[in-house]
Amino acid sequence: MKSEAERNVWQIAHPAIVVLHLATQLLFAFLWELHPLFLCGQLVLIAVWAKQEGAFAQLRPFFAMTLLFGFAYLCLNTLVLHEGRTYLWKGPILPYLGRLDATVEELSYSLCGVIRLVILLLVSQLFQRLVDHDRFFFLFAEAAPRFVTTALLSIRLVPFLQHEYRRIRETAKLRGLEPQRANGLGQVRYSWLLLRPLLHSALEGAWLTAETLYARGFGSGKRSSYQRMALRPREKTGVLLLLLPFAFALYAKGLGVGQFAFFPLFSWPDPLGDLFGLGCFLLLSIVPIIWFRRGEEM
Amino acid sequence: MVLCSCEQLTYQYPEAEQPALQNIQVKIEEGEFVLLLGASGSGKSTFLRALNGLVPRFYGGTISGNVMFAGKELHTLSQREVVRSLALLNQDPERQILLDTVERELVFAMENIGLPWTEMRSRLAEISHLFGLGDWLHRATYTLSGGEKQRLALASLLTLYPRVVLLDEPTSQLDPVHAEAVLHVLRRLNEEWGLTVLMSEHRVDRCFHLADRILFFDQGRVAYDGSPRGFIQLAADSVPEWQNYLPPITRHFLKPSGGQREHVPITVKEARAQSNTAEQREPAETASTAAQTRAPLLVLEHGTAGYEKGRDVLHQLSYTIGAGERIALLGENGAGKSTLAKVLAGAVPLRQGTLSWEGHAIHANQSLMHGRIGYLSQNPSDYFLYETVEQELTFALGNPGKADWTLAALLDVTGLSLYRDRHPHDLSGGERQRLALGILLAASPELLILDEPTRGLDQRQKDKLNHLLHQLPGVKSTVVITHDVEFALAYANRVTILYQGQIASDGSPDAVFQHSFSFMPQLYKWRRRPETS
Repeated sequence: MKSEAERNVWQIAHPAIVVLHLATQLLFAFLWELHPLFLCGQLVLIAVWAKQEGAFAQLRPFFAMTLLFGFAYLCLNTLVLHEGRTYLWKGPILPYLGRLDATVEELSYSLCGVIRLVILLLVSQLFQRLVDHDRFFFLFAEAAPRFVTTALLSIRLVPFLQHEYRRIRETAKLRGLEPQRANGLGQVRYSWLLLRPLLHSALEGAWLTAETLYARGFGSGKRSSYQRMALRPREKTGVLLLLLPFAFALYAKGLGVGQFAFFPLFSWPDPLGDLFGLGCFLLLSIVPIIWFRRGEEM
Repeated sequence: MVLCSCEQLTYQYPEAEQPALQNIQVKIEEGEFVLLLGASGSGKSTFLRALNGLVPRFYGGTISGNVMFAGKELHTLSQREVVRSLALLNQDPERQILLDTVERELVFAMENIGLPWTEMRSRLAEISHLFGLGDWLHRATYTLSGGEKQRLALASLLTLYPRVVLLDEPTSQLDPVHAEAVLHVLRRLNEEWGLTVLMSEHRVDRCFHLADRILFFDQGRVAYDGSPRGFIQLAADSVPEWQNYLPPITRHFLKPSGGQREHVPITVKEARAQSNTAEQREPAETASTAAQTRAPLLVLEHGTAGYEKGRDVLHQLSYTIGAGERIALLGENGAGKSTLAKVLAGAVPLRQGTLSWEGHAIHANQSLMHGRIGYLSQNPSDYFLYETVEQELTFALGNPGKADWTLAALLDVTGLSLYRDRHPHDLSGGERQRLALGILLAASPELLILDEPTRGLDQRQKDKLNHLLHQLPGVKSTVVITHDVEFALAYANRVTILYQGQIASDGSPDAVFQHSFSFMPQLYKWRRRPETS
């Protein structure tokens, strides 16, 4: 966690508002169902936003995993679905699953699913980057004080263990225990060796933390809360602005914007109308983000 | 008025073979400053935990006798009532900080006992003023140094306005400057707030004179309960081994050559008053002599280093370690001592500069380093990979041993022969330290680097360690990072002080200690003459 000076504009703001921004994006990802144009548009919007917030650097380690998972989803979903008519491949018939096949429609449908997955990943990374977790959890401090404190301490456990493991590994390295050539089995054996000191260290650490908690009266009865977070006027306006794209989306959907069918064959009744709708929607989505950023920077 | 008392208190930890406390009969008056002395494992920490109910409420075990607080039996008080009145501070600042910003840490205990917001706000301001935390409130706790964390942990406890504060070696991990800061606050709280203070401590040079009373623990019993003067008298007359628990200046005056034994000084000021001429202070009985110029073993030239993408911790630092040197590396928390040690050991790569061993350039990760340099980190437990002491040493001998040692020899030199079947985590702090040292010795290093090996050790254990470091076969040179200037004086023939990643002072102990007020042993302070410009 960072000091006040190091925090970005979102982390200083009321956490409920930031979460609302992200929740709105999540909602949109499902509102249009699997519409390729809208999903791509939203992906671009969120990617630009994430880039703007400097979240890309943290995303890198997750991208490889997401691509792998996305590829697996793409293949499996395509094989298992029995829709579409434009066949690319017809495979054998398997018990329970039926015929394995791949059609252009299934492939496209699955690809849109992967795009939605990437959107979810980006939103979750933005949550990591933009939301001050402590302040977010403190929103529930009055209602569920013990849950909040336990959750916060659990969040701390991961970096604590990472720190401990780094130190133990450094010690082993200096003893010359680290395998020079890292083959799979040697690496597993080496990691297993380091597990014991890590376990002991984690247990001792947990014990001391528990003792400190007890000595500071945690769990001694009803808690009070020092954190008081009220919405500022500008943030209230921001909430109203957030309603704009939402209202537009509902209105446009009522008018029939965003209709797209994959099966049995592609059907896109009004591409131009959708393009115009997407333009309006993106414009209205950008407004609250810019409003929020400018307000906090001022 | 008696605030806390123990009547026939006996306590045994679950699965322990012997009681940790036996028949403790003690009364603590309100406003007293009580110093708890005794060897490691003598029962001091358990006694502190018994006073605030952690023993047996948190630890379990069996207890008999009574602990009273303000006229009530402690076990009849709720956790909240106990916490509000009796605050406990541990020695490890890292593990006591729970939340991510200073402000949240400060209010945490107040939130736990359900204080109203206005009261919390008022107390936060009070404690913030007292500790000078105004500029820190929004700082992330991970950016604080060890000393700052310990002050924050203490401040956080004091927001509860307790009547008694229990401190378990609160300065053992702090450099002399930060330790003084913590003790200064405690002294003020005791004198001005009337706070009752019970503190266990091994480094008594800074706090012995603060005590109104001494409780000396020996194998779970209170062997002495009385005034500091009375303790000195007994140590002088009938129990000489207790002299290990006296400040160095007092020990000096108790020596046959030390002078009078009637009113022995316990502070430098008293010592100066008693021997106020320079001639009387002249006998320069320094424990060590200057290191002679020897062949360089390890040479660091213009080294700049840091961690990951962080700032440089060491800046253009050049340092040479010669054969036969016993170096004490001093400096405040965060000065770069551990980083320098890790650079020398090859754990932290240099961003700039070169490192060479006997004239041959070496790089981090190079296997050349492993056999020749042994590095003992601050956490000896990190070295323990097996179930018994014997298994640990056997593994160490086979990996990557040079067959210079046998298991029996290692057990013998580390004094662990009796514990060969023990689990490493069942050993005391000093024994763990020696086992880790034994593991390193198995690789027959020529240079040993030890990072704060005296942390949490009592005087006797420090003497043992010092003795061991003086007679390690095959080790050409040793470097010890320490905050304990008295240990440095006893052990080193060269002292280096780091300041903000650069060498502030380097030379023989005499040369360095005479001019470093922050890192000056008591005897040097006593002998120091005001400099005339």
